[in-house]
Amino acid sequence: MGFNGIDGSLNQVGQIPWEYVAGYFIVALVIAFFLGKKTGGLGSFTTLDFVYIGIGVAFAVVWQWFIGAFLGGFLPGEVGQYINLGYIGGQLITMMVIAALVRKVGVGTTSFVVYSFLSDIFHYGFGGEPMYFIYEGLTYGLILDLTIAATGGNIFGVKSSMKASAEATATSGSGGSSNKLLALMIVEGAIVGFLFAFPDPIIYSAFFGPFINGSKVNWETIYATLTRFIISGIPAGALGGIIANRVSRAIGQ
Amino acid sequence: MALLDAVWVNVGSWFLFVFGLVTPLYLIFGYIGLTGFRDISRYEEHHTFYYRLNPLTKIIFTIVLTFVVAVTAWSIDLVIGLVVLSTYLTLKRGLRRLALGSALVFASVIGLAWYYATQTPYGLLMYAFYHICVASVSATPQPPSAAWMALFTPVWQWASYFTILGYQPVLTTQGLLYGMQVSTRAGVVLISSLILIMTSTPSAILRTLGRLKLPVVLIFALVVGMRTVPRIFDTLDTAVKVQFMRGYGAKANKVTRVFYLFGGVLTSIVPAMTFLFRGARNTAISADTRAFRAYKQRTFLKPFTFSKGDYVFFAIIAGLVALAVFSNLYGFGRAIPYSAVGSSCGATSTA
Amino acid sequence: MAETGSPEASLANPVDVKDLVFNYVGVGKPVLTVGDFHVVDGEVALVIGKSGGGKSTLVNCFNGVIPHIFKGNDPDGVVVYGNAVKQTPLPKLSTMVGTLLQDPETQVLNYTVEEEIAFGPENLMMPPDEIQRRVDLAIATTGIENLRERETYVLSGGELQRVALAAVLAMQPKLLIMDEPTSNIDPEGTARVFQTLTGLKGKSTLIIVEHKLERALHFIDRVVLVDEGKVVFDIAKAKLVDYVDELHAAGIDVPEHYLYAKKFRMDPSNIEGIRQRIAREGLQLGTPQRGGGGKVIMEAFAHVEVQGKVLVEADLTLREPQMLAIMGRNGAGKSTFLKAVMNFLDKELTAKSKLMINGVDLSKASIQERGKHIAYVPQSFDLMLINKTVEEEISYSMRKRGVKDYKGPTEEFLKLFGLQEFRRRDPLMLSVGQRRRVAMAAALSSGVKIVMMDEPTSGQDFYHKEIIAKEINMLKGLGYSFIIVTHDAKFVYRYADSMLVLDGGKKVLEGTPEEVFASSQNYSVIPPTEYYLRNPDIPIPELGMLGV
Repeated sequence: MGFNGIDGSLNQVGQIPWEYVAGYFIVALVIAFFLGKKTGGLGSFTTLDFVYIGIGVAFAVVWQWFIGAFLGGFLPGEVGQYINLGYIGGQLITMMVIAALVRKVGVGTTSFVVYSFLSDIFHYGFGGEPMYFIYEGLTYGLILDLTIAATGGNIFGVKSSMKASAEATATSGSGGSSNKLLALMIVEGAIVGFLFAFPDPIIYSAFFGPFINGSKVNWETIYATLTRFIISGIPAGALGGIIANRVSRAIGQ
Repeated sequence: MALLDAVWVNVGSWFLFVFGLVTPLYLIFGYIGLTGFRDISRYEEHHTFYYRLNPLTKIIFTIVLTFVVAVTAWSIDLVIGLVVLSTYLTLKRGLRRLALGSALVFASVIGLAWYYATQTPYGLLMYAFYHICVASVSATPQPPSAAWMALFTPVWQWASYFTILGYQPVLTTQGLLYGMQVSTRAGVVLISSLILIMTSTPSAILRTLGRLKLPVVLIFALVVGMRTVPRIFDTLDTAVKVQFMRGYGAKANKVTRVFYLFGGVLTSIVPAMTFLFRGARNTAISADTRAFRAYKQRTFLKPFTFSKGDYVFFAIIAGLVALAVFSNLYGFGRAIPYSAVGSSCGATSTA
Repeated sequence: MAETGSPEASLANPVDVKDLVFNYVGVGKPVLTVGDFHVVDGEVALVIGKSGGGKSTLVNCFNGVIPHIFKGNDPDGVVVYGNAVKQTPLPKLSTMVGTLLQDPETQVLNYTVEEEIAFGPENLMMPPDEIQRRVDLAIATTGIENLRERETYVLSGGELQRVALAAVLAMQPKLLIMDEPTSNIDPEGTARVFQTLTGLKGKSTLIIVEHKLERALHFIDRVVLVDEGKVVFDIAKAKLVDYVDELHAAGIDVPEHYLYAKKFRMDPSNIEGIRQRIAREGLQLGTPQRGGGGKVIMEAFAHVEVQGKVLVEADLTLREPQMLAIMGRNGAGKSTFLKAVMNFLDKELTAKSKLMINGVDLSKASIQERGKHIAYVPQSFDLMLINKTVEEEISYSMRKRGVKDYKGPTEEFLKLFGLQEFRRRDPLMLSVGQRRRVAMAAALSSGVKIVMMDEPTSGQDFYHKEIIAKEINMLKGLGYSFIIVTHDAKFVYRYADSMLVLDGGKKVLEGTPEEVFASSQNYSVIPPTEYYLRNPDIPIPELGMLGV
């Protein structure tokens, strides 16, 4: 018996071969395991970190499912294709805020797993699990974790900003962000936004999509979606970098 | 006459466009509002059927229902959805929950269906409706060829410039059916998942997940998340109304008010987020000073049991599975009907 | 991992401190320096001091929050029941030391009361029978049997705080730390929390952190004043009356009757005796100045119902420039009334309201239209701060209403609230006090002359309350009028010009504070001690119930 017309044939015409996808997830798992081992994994997380994840993920869910979900029709045609407000607000910017607050490798993967659970409870009703935990955690989540690892925990320049703020306060300065720091937030945010553009068209649409929706893999659409996601993801990520830095400085973490 | 036709096409197109755009937005922001979302996203104490069920039963129900609606015709999904929706009457403040649930699902269905009906490329529709034909015939008919006309049933010819908005040139019955298929699936899943969150305390759901041996810290983050969701709605509600008092949307009228509400929500996100994150330290201290993470697992006050009601519900779930099987056997599976495929494909071949 | 201390440890003091020096990460200067400090078994100690003086930091060194949650220089020298805090894991400490915090909203995690109370014992992997026994005991001790099955998010602040207390008690700690446990809750909730704590006296060791003396004075043994990170004095309660000057110097609101207790060499807890003596001596105590008020600037009426049940049916009249206080127990309809006046109500509530401001009928007006005449500052004033700079925040309202020349007025408000030096700063990065001033300035810049404030003094210490009072008086001088919803009877008595009391959604009392307080006890609005000193004929309630 088939599901949504797929009839169990794993490699549909045009679809990314399952070996590639499996290969990606194995490599991703190895990286996640290695990073976790090196940094102490969830054991190094404090309870406060998990509170931040919980509150942040609640915002992501509210944003994605209750605010952004119906706005596709709000933005006309082409514009709507570029600016997916549900995705930008819920999955990109809010998760960047959590990463900036916690700044420990593993926060990305954990947040996306928690996000998948909470989305299930609020919207999906646990359909399609555990695929979503794995998919979201090891794509979007891993991108954030790798960014934290690459920046040595100074993601979106949060640590530098706090140091600058403390010095400015000590000298009664303005306490604002310097241009260099602003550039750092923007560049790092833009890189995250750029990388976030890939999982949905490449892994979801070109592999998981046929299983879930019964849709046909159309590489023209996938290239177009990828281009659009890159074009909208870069400025949205840059904005996310600034917001993440601002919120974490306000909280004083 | 040509002028009249042009007026008719333009006025009609804009009317349909505004209908598809404004109806969901009005329902979401105008009728339901933030407090409505809060009401339909949180548990309230009550003692009717759903409330007595083990959360695991309800989780299984939603998973099975997701599967059932994915493999049955949208008309069957619609009936299932209406039946499940009508059971909202048994919930606490049942009428209000029914009204809110209906509005939310209707908005979701209209929003999604309209999007899919107007913007799905004909190539995909061709695949969805005539996949046997597409697979066997190398030359796929293209609009507006006669072969294409024979396959599709036009409903409305959009004004030509609507393609800039991403619309297909012609709205077709097939497009509408495809839209209904996708949206009823999403709608029914939404209805059933809301039952879970309105009739089970988050801690009961999480206790269930705990029995499935999920790490304690993940469950804790989920507990915090679930308790935060209603607080977010309260916080945003206050933040937006204070902005209105300060003059935001002063020039709004009844139609544009909804856009200002949306704008108000957008600008309130960062202050609301900051406000709630500021309380995180207290929450962490409260948990840590009550031995949180003392062990890798926790015990539970309440036993994990299935009642007679759960077994009754398992029977209903089994019935749904049977319905899916029979629907497929009798040609009501896979949502888009198969019955027309043979003849249309034949017509195409001879065209 | 989670068993309590060894037999030797159980003989040790609840707290022993020797040469404690603590500073937070990145802060060079120590925030706390304590030489010798001990708490003995069974005593009740009150730690007092103004906000930011170091009293919470001190107790956080006892419960392990420092250094296990708040990082710093890893302080040595703190031993709890024989266990060095630095080396003892937090879960183990939590079986010996229980902590109740100020804000019930953020410390309650679970959805139902019973689950919240069971949270700690569940973490300790106790068997279900033992968890149930502890939950039942904690519920009985705190007297919240009626709340057992309730959801936590529907409870009032006072109820929520008693649930939080029960959850702490379910851990069965030998030492209880209460960090400003009643700062954010109503008088009735406060009285009930202290009722429970009074019942625990002799059974547990208690450390209560407060910035108000009066709340806990009737059952404590000892008072510790902490200021600027140091223990200023540590004395038995009986000696407190000799330390009034030190309290004043440390910015503590010393109850007025203490001054007379010192003068007459009387026991300060004998308020009845003190006021009789004042009367006998013929002393004339000054009374707060009340503005009679000028012309009527606002008249409001609201009728609110849900599913046929009337929640509120009340009216108010505001004169200029007055401060009108609205009081009443939790659930009396105060917030609903204000929301109806502002057109803020949830959709499921049916409301009819009438609103006249300066003779203009605004009964049918939108929120925006009403906002031209009334400003609203919510308790969570941070939610108002949506702009990137202080300057933009203050000019926001004018810009949204299309005022072209907004720079001049913005400058005036910056000056009025002493915010010029912060004009380009991000409001979210400012201190709490500065943020509150920005919110206030931003609310007033709408051009309004009427300001509604929800619980403006909640969680504030004496020093900050005085600042708020000065600000309000200054603004009254400029022609502004205020409506405040509050539980703070002392603030109302000192600064309000008139007040009204709501009960069951109806206005039951109205007049000057002197007139209203004469019978407000019937509606759970308990006057402050200062009122009783000046009115010897009004019976004084039991000490824990005094409005402070």
